Amino acid sequence: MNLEATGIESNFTALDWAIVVVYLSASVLIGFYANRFVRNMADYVVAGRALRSNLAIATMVGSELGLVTVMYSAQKGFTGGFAAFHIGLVAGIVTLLVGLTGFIVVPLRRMGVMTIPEFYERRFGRSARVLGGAILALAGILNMGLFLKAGSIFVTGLTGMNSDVELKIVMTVLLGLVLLYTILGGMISVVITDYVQFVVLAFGMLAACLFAVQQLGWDHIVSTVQSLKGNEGFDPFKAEGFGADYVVWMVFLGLISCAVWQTAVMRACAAESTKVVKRLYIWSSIGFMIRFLIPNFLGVCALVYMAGHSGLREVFIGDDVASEVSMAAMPVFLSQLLPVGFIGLIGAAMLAAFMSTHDSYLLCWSSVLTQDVIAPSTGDRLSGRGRIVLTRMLVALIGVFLLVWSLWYPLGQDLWDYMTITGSVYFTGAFALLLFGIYWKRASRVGAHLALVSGFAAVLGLAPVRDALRLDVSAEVVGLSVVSLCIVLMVVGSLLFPDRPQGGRQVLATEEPA
Amino acid sequence: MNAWAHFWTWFLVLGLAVFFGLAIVVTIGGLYDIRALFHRLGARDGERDGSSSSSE
Repeated sequence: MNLEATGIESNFTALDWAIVVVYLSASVLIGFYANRFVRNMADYVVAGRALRSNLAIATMVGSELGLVTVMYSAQKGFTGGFAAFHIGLVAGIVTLLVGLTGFIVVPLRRMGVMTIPEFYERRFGRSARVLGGAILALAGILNMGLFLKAGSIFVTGLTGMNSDVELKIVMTVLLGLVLLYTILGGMISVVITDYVQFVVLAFGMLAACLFAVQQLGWDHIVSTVQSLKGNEGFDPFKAEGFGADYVVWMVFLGLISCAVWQTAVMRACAAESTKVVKRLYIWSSIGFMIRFLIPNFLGVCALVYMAGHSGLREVFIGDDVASEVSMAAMPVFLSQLLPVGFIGLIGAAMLAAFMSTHDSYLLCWSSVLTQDVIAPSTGDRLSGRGRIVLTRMLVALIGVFLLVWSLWYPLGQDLWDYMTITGSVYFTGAFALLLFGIYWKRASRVGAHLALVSGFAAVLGLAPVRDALRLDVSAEVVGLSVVSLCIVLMVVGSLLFPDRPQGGRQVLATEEPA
Repeated sequence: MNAWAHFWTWFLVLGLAVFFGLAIVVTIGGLYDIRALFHRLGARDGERDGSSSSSE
């Protein structure tokens, strides 16, 4: 994508670059300072289980309102118009319901587990932990496979870099920064930097919305979407690319994002008590809604802005616009909208959030591979030092994979849809295991293994796979079908092959400890 | 504007207003929580240092 012919120039200046450098340096120093307090694995992974409500909410929203989230949500607003707002609405409602009921997350916190595979082992045995851990790591790594590309498109779009070479250089530099940051990582430093990011991004994004409305005018925004997309730009049940099955898929995704996705569950497990877990989810429901709503709205504003600019309209609007191009619309729009200084602050906070998210995910998947897959497979003969070395090697290997994947994978669908499908390889099976493992005493090991393996069918929802197999079915239909398959196999497998009775009584996580 | 446009307008305004309120509360409350977190972790380390030195 080359914007030179359009004649636009970014508002990003040397002052903004200086702000980025100072902000990122300060984040790294905070990481150094906070890591002085890390003494054990619980400190490292769940901040010593010492998070109180306000800090827990800030870190949860701060980590969820990252650069990649902003990119894929803005792309949804750009391609779907106001109809995309339903994603935030259902995410907020579902998270609120989880907070009010404690569904899944309170039993997990009561059990004191740190990872989902740990739950698998306690409930379904060691082999479920190894298999579930491998699937979790595979899906998680694929899920973050395009983070680098999204981050680089944001940086180049915001700063006005145009060529593909610059995009690749930015991708490589970002990866280097992320790997450096990850070495310094750990949950205590992450919660502090997430708090700072929450403050900057919350107020910064709110201000960006006000700037956008002030510049474009509310009536103009609504009328332009109406003229470009008609009623489909507002009605999610009729919109092209959405529809009733997509809305149902988003309801399920809302539940998964807050109650089953490993990084959100880690926040619940880090809370001081089950009471804090419920409060955290009730208040975070606003954050889970807003993390879609604000970027969706900025995407809508980008659409309106591009439509009013003849050069940009040719590049960004049309039926054959590549996914990578529509993703760049929001940062290009921000580069024209935000004033000098402010754009640097937003860019710096976004980059810090990008590194923090990468840090959390890299550590999460590499430690899952070490702790839940490799170590149990070797009979737990790995020493503590050996596990640390192995985890670091895995971080580097995953980093190389991310670079290669970002460079060659043909996206072919909206980034959000890519992420839901790659994530569903893990969470379709995980949902069945958590739901029945926690709330159904007869859930058995055979049922659990069948549900985990059947989650692989979700790869059929990826655009290149559907194209190769000539499948004329949408990603959301594939996702919902695989969820149903996992649930059916879990129930049928458990009824046909129940666990052999053991000496002690099975204790579910829903029961209070004696 | 059609009904959906009205609905999304109010949803956006309400959502941003509620989030603004939450951001203020969490920003202020979070500072106190960070202080408490470091206090607790520091006190724990102090206890550990004390117990290890007394056992030597």
